[in-house]
Amino acid sequence: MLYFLTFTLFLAQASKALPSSDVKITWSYENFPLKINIAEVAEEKKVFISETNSFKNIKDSIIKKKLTDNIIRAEHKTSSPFALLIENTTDQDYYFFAVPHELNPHHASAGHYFECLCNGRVFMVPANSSWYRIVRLNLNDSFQKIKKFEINHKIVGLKKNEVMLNYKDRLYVP
Amino acid sequence: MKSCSITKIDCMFHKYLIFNILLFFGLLCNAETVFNLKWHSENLPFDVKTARATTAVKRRVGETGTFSEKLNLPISNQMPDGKIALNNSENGYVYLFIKNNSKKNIRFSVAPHSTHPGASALGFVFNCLCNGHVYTAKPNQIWYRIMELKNDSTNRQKDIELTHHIFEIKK
Repeated sequence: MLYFLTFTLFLAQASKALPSSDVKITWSYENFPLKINIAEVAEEKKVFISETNSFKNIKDSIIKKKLTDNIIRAEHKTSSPFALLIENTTDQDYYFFAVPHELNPHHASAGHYFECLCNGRVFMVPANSSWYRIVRLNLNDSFQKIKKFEINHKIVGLKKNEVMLNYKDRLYVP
Repeated sequence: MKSCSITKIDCMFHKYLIFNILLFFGLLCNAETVFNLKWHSENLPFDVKTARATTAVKRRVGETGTFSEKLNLPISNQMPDGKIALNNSENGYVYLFIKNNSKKNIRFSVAPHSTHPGASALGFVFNCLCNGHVYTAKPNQIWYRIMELKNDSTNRQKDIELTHHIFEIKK
């Protein structure tokens, strides 16, 4: 009897759960030696979408945990905030921008809305620091209920003098 | 008197030289980029075409509509090869036309465009239609959208390919 009740309760909980998709956030790099990971944001901290900054010590930051598989589970009809994270252990600042993202398969794109970093801005990762940006993925009513898909970004590194000469007005200043 | 005429020739030569240098740098600064717009409509019964619009549509960018016979839009020229050449800091206006050859409404969407080469993406802004929205093409009618391509002053890339995939929304 107890097993039956537990099983019924389990089914009731499962039916309440929103459908979701596993979204792999992938990256390719051109002239950029650092790597981007995705990370969970500390729940107790206030989250501002598109907040971009850097820190020296992860304990004092908004980042809770780095997700090494770069997969997020996005519930449909809700938004999922998470962080992009770049750890720079070198003594050099790095500049980059992101080419607009592509989806695999293409038809996963209907109803997806990703407030990410491919917005024509140039970002700077300071030396001996970790850079982060809070992003949000929203899968709305038009989304085709695809269980697994990928969002691919290409990161292009820029030289400091190139940024100062051509893209100074596009450089994101926190 | 002689030295005076030499000075005059020298002066003219210098002016000619400066003019050529300015012309050279002017041409360098005002480079042209050819954007190749490609559209893949998978297995859909669509005819997809593009045409240049005049600057008269600059306040109508993002407009979509449908027409069956009389086309009352300011078209400057067709783009049979999908190519549009823009100088630095120039904006181009483009119509996308989709003719639905079937007998039913087809709901479709367009995946985010791929840019080749990717590193050129900072050099332009394309206000197109690949924003996750769902559109409807009516049977035997032509659906259109007005788009804007802004070439940045810093763009030095000669050729850029922008590819869109159009797909059906079945639900």
